[in-house]
Amino acid sequence: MDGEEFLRRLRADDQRVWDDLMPMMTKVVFGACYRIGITDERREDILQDVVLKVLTNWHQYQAQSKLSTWLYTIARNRCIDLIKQRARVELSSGCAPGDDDRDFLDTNTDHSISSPLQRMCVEAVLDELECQPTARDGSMRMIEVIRYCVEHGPSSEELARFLNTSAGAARERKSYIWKQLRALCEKHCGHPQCVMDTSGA
Amino acid sequence: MTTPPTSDQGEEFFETLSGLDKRHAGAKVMRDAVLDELEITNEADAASEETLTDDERAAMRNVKARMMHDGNWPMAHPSQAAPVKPANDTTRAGPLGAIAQWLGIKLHGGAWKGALGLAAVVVLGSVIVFKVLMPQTVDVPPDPTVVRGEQGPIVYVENPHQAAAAMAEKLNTLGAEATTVPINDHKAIVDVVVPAGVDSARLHAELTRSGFNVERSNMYRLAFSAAIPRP
Repeated sequence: MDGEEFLRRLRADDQRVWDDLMPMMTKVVFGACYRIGITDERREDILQDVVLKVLTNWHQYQAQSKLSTWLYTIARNRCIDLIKQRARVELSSGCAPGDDDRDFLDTNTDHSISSPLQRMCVEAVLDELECQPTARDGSMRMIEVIRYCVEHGPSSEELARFLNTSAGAARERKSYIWKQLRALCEKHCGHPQCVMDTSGA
Repeated sequence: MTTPPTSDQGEEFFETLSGLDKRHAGAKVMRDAVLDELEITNEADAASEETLTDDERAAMRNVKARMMHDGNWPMAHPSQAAPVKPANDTTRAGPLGAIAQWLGIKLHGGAWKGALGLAAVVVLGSVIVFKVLMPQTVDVPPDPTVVRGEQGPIVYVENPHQAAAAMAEKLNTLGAEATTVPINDHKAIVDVVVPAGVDSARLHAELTRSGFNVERSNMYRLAFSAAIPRP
């Protein structure tokens, strides 16, 4: 089901749409949980939270992005909330952040991303970019560029063509995006081994 | 984080982001995040009940059952599923048009509509006055032996939980999505959704055979209770 169909059916008061949407919501939530490292029964609670959120806020969806992407954003935010909640509890109980998150996050999952804190940071940065109320268009464009680079691995010339600009301007654009990402990352974690840090792989 | 970034670092970051270089750990994390999201959403786009893993399917059914039990799941009776009226459908008549069609009148001008509207109001007013003036005994009194409730049909058995589980299993084998929800020690319900394409006749026959005298539908709520109903 795509976003247009989802909205059309809801506007026609076709409540069966929720039954049809459940497999997609389940896949998205379980995928988001796995990425963040939540693999236990809390996934069901998160799924229920996400379903409730979608049930009550479906009118906010404008079908400008893929339905699954919108659901993924909701699921990811819920996972981040959960991690932040846990981090606050650990901080207030005197535990060093990052030391004990292994207890909370399943480290046995096969992630290429090593640290839960790094995962949290990059999720928060992407989330911030997608939700920024000010300069939203510019932020969305930044995400487009990031996604284009990840998906297509373009050279500077190819990126310049994608941005419809010169190679020099594309280079400046990359530098701008990099600085913005750094600033957002610093805002979100400020950790010495931050995701945007230039320390080697 | 304390040193200002150089443009070389930016280039290095983007090269890693593009999968051309592996030197920048941060960019690799972001690349992984974007790729993971793509993978998850693409998989979700093609998701159906059949493509879910056993874990996912069980979780989905549990959550749905929980929400149904809490009254948070939007249940639509099949009769409520109104057909969608196309926006540019000019062939359908409004209430006045329908009356006119019934009377065999062709409406071409606004004057006819006005006169017909007035007549409709007079008829409606007469019906209301008639209803108000009529004695209340015209209404059929409710049957005192009828037990009304929101649960739907109830079957009384010795072990309601066992019976509900057995019924759910039976219905699931027939292709339905049946979920057992324990209410208390003496009661359990089974929420049943019949997906499109399932042989609903067989399912309905099974329900009737088990004592649920229900109308054919694509959604049922069946209750099993240990209590004996009072006469």
